[in-house]
Parts: sequence; C-alpha cells; structure tokens
Amino acid sequence: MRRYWILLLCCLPVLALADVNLQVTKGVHGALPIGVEHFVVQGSAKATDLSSIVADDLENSGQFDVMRADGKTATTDAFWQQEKVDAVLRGQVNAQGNNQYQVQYVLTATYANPGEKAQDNQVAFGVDSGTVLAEGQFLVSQADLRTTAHRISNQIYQKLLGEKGPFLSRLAFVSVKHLQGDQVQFQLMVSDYDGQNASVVYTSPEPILTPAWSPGGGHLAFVAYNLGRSAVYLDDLKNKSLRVLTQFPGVNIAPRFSGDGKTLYVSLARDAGVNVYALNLASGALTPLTKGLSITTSAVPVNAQSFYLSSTSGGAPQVYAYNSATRVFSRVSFNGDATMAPDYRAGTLVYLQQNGSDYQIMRLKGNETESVSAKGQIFPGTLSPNAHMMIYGRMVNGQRRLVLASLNSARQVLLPALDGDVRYPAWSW
Amino acid sequence: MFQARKRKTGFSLILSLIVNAVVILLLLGGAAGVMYQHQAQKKQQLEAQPNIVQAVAVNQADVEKQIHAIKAQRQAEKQAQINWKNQLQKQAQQAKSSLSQTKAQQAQANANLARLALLKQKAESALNALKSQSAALSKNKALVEQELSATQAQLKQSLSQAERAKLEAKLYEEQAKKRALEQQKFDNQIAKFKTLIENAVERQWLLPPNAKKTMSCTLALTLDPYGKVQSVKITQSSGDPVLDRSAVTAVLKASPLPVPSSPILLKEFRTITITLKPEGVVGA
Repeated sequence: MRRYWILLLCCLPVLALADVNLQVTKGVHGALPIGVEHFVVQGSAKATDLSSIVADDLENSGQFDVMRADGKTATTDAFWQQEKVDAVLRGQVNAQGNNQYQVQYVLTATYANPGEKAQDNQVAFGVDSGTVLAEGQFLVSQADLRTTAHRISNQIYQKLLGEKGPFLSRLAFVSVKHLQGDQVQFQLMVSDYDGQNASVVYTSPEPILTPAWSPGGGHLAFVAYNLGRSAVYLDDLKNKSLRVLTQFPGVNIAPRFSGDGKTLYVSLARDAGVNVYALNLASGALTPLTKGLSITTSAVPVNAQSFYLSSTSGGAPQVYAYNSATRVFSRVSFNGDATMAPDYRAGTLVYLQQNGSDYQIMRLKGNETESVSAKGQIFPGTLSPNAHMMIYGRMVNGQRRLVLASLNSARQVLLPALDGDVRYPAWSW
Repeated sequence: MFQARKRKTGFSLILSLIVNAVVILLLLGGAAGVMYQHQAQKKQQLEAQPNIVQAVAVNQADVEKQIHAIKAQRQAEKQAQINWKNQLQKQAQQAKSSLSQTKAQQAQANANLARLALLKQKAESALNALKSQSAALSKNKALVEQELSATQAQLKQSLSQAERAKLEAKLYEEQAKKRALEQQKFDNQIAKFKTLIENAVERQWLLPPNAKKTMSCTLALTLDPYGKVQSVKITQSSGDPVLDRSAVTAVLKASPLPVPSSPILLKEFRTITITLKPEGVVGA
C-alpha cells in the first residue's frame, strides 16, 4: 500500500497540474478604444460626414477613446490591432438621388477570436463576419443623415457598453437675444443633444425659465412671464399646442415631471413661503409637498416620495434630500456657502455649489462628491438620461454658453455658440 | 492449615483406638489368666484325690478330720469359686461396662470419624472446588501469560517493523522532501507565470460600465508555445454579453501571454482556464 502511495507521490507533479486555472479579479476603468474610419461617400460631394458625427458622439460620452482614421478607408485589422483599439467602425454613404441616401455601417472586433473565425463568409468592407459586432443599413433623406449618425452611435454604444445610447436625446434651453436698444428676446429652443439642429419652440419678450422634459420627450413644461406674472406652461411638441398649467399669484416656478409623466412638481408661493406642490396633470389637483415660510423649490423626484430640492430653511439655500411621506429634510452637502439647482438621474445627483463668487457643478454618486466643472462663472445644468454626461452653463467671453461634459472623463465640449446667452439647459429623458 | 488439623485429628483417633484395644486386650488377658489358674488348681485337686481315698481306709478320725478339712477346703473352694465367680462376674461386668464404654467411645469415635469423614469430604469438595478454581485460574493465568507473551512478541515484532518503517519513512521523507522541493520549485514557477498572465489580462481588461461584482465569466484558452492565444472559448458566460466580450477582448489583447520557456513548464500552459470577475480596479 505504502509503495503505491509513493508511486502516486512520484506521479504528482504530472497529475496535479493538468489544467492551469487563473483568476482575474481586477480590470481597468477607462474609455473603450475604438477606431472610426472615414465613411466612404459615393455619388455626392456634399454628404454630411457621418463618421465624424459618430466619432464625436462616442468621444462626447467620455466612454470611448476614439481613434479617427480620417481620409483612410479599409484600414487593415493589423493597423487597428497595433493601435490597440477594441473595435473598428467602417461605413459608407451612397447618394441614391431624390434626396435619398443609403447609409451602411459595420462594427468589427479588432481582436477576433481565432478559434471562431468564419472562413468563407465575407460581408461588406472586406470584413470577416466572424468579427462583426454590429451592422446596419438605412435609407434616409439628407435632413436625417445627422440623426442616422446618432442612431449608429447609439447602436455602437449599446453593443459595446450594454447601455442605451444617449445620442438621440434632445436638449431644451432658453436663449436670450439682445436686440437693438434695451430690447431682449427670450427663446425656448430645442436641439440635438450636441446643440445641433436647434429650433425655436416659444418666443417671448419677457423671461422664460427652466424648461423640463416629460419622460420620452413629448412635452416641455417651462416658466414664462406674461406682463410680469409668472406661469407654468405645457408645450405639446408633437401637436404644437401650448397651455397654461399654473398661474397663481406670486411665483410659479421650477416645473419637473414625475417618472410616469402624470404629475408635475412645481414651486408656488400660495402661502407665506415658496413651497413644492404636486400637480396632477389629468385632474389638475394640487397637493402641497412641503410647508414652510422659507423658499423651497427646484424639486427633482427620485421616486414618488423622495426628492432632492433646494431650500432656504437653514439660511442660505442648500440642497436637501426630502421625503414627502415623513417630511424629513436631510442636507446633502456641507461644503461651500450655498448649494442649489439639484438634478438627479440614474443614481447620480448633481448640483451647483457656491463659494463666494465662484460656482461649481458637483456630483454626488453614492457617498462620493466630486467636481464636474471648473470653478468660476458656472450655471446650473442637467444630466443625460444615463447620467454619464451633463450639460451646464458657463460664461465664455462674456457670453453664457453650454458645456457638454462627460462624467466619466475630463472631456468638456463647448456647444456651438448661438446668437445670445444660453440658459437653463434641460436634457430629455 | 486445614490439612494440619485433619492430620492431628486422625492421629488422636488412632491413638485412642490403640489405647482402647490395649485396654480390651489387657482385660481379656486378665480374664484368661484367672481362668487358667482355676483350671490348674482343679487339676491339682483331681490328681490329689487318690491320696485321699487311700487315707479313708486308714483313719476315720483322720478321715473325718480329713473330710472336715476337705469339706472346709471344699467350702473354701466353693467360697473361692463363688468369690472368683463374683470376681469374674465383676470383672466381666467391668469388662462389659468397659466394652460398652469402649463401644460408646467407639461409636463416639465412629461418629467423630463420620463427622470427620464428612468434614473431610466437605474439605475435599472444598479443596476440589479450590483445586478446580485454582486450575481454572492457572489455566487463565496460562492463557494470559500466553497472550502476554504473544503480545510481547508482537510488540517486539511491530517495534522492529516500526523501526524499519521509520527508517523507510525517513528515506521516503527525504525523497519526498526532495520531490516536494522540486514540486515547490515547479509550483513556484507555475504560480509566477500564472500571476504574470493574470496581471497581463488585468491590465487589458476594460471593465464595462455595468459590470457587477457578482458577475463571473470563465474562458478556456489554448496557447501556442509562444503564449499566443490560439482560441478562446467561453465555458461559463456571465450572462452579460458585454462583460463576456470584454473578457474575451482582454485575453486577446493581452496575447501573446507571458509563458515559461522551459518545455516542462510550458506544457502546463498549453490550455488554461481564466475566470474573470470584476471585483476591483487595478491600482485602486
């Protein structure tokens, strides 16, 4: 028996390590490296450069490290492997005449699994089908080319990150145009998330404030003054109809839709202070959520009972987490002189923090606070639907502009300047 | 002790028997002596009678005298005879009483004897019991001794065996140690390259934004002798295609993986299994 044992012992080095098992429990956080080749354009010299729009989208998200191969097409996999990118986007645009364009794209994995490589199944762009991650084909008009690019971006985003892409979401904001003399024109505008395709929704010589999107982006609620009196309006973007929701004496401000879109939270001065009310959009019933003499406003719903809001109950305005069932306020931050203008999306809270004459956008994720913007003349903003980006205001050369900021990277993109100041950016969701 | 007492009792019994017998013999002897004397006297008297007849003729006076004398003598003789008879009777009675006494004594002795016999029997049976007990004991003892000796023998044997085994074990131990050392070296090398590969993959593993710590993806790889990944197979999906792909990409990006150059070690790295779990961040 002993001898067998010894024999076994002798065999151990061979037997014990039949298979090497490894454990990888760590990885790196960072942008996913992706190569974007220039989309080949056939039949039209003026076609929008879709590849650069896609590249911008991916870059704007802060979740991609984009390598552009401008002017290069059909670059080899070997090249992209050398560049250490995980995936490559290739595409082409064919003008079909009659303002019709056929757009095709294919996203391939640079690191193909050699064990899974398909042999005789070649698709467009000389790409091995075994490495294809996503592909698509669209027939669109010239006007929809930009949207098509955003759609491709969304598909890539979804494929590589497993999340819905934010590139088809929209922005609403107020532009303030200084006309001749002292005249000012306020415009409620909507645009693509990147500030492109901007269009005017509502114009007024009196101030327009804080637009808010309904879930799905079908409606916009906003505050507008009429003969010096504020009112909350609801704009049905599809049917292009406008109606007044609240027009109480005093202020009617800071509208925000509930998650189901059935309730609008507004701040009204019906009693001594300014308090948050829930307005049932179907019945028009108004329910006070807060009660007090201080100014409590900017309520952002987390769910039906939890809110972030800003209140002067402690002196300077501060952002609080508020439970409407228990009526308990809990202060979010103890930094800075004041905090205000909260926005909440997908577990992330952002707010504006004031330090003397400096303002800064802060983010609270879990228990960690970090700055999103630089310090200075910064104005409030809102989060993208997945809370990976945000849009906020910043004074640039005496003009209020919008900044598209990634919360995952240092990327900050100044959106195209409009004629005048841009205020109150709201990101659709 | 019991034996000694028994011996003593036996001796006194015999002694008393002897004494009784001597007494009886003496008595019988005495009686016989008396009887013989009387017979002898009678015979003398019978031999003297012719003299008397002769004398009758001689002298009446003398005869008378003689008769008288004879009468007297006869009287005396009669008396003597009666005396003797009495004496004899007495003696006989005495003998009888002595006999009965002896008999009683004998009965007593017999009873004693019987009792003794009983005792003896008892003692013997006790003795026998004891003997059988002691026999059993001695048998047991023998058995125990036998066993003991057997055990001792066994012990001795096993001791010697143990010593041998000890020696062998020592030898084996040394060999095993040597082998373990080699194994250790081998293992260390394997571990070293495992860590190298793990680190190489970690550095290339871009964690998807939605990666959860509970997710886990297992890949089976085949490598060429230079560590280049020849195939990747997802043997256990995390359930999230994005995480699965990130894992596959990480491995492919890390290719060629650091593998040992020694052929024996390299053999271990031709097929490897990697489990990727997004538990932490490198450098965090």
